[in-house]
Amino acid sequence: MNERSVSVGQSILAESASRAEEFRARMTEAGTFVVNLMSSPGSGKTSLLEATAQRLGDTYRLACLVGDIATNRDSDRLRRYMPAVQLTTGGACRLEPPLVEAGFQKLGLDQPADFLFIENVGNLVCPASFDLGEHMRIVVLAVTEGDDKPSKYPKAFRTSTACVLSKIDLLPYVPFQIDSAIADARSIRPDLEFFPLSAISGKGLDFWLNALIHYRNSRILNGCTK
Amino acid sequence: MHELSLVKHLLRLVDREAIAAGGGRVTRIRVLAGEFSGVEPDLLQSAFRIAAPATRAHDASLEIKVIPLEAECRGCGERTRVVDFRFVCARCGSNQIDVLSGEEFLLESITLLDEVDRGRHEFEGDRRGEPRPVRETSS
Repeated sequence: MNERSVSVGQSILAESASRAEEFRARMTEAGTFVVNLMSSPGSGKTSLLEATAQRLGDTYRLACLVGDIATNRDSDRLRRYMPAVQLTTGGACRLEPPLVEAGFQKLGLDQPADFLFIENVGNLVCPASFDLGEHMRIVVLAVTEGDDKPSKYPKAFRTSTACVLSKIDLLPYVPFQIDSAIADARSIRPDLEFFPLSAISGKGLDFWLNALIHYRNSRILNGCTK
Repeated sequence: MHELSLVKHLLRLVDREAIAAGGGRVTRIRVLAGEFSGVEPDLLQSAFRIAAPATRAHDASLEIKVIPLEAECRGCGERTRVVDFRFVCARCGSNQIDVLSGEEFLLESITLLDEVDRGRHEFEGDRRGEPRPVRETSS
């Protein structure tokens, strides 16, 4: 019996990361800007996507993948506005690249989309550790949550480019302080951009949509295909 | 609670590295987990105990070394520890800092035990040189 030590020094998620990288490259090539939306359950990701698709859908080709532990409810809602595939994880707390690739296949798009939205499983912990091949990661924080949430879930905020503050039509009824939330989040990620909006009233939506288009144009060379 | 999934990624990598190094039973796995890697060491240990029995690392020990979250300040050049996930320089207070360590989740090394197996020649002969599957040892 002979024991020997083998030095490895490799990232344990390297395989997952390289699949994500391949997917991103494929999407960039196709002119598809991929957005990964993360948040806790009930922060309004699906409503945000509905409102976004209603307004962007005339000009851009859209598609989405929706992660949930169970049910097709969210994809049923979103299919009214764009091709949507539900990714049910069967208990898993986040999406991973193979599930996204399979879901994308299932979309069966005839022409490439300009935007592919991935609505992650409602959870601020686990999704933060997995690159799905997105061009942009967005964290959604509802004003009905605590304005100190960024510090409690730092990785979700550190790894996101922008934060949508949703449900701002409810601000008169809740103690949420927008300035405190922004300060808290920027102590974790100084350049985090903020989009306060209400998907119900439409307030703040134009700013958000223009930014989305701007983000896409900065990463994707093709114009929109519609 | 994604540690079970992380452990599956880990065990796949361990298996690949063990094969590349000539095979054998894995007796020790050393992992580096950054403070900001999203990996909870205790949960990783529990998940490992659940997932390892079906693999060549079935009786391996898992050693997890936690790597502190450290950054370098772009302003004053100070190497600073990031405390409570406040990404600011401890010396000058600048928030323009670059993370140096603490985000990694790495397989540092594995220890392999060569097993001299009495049935090996016969077994390999039967399978015409196909890679020998890991035997469940009864010890």
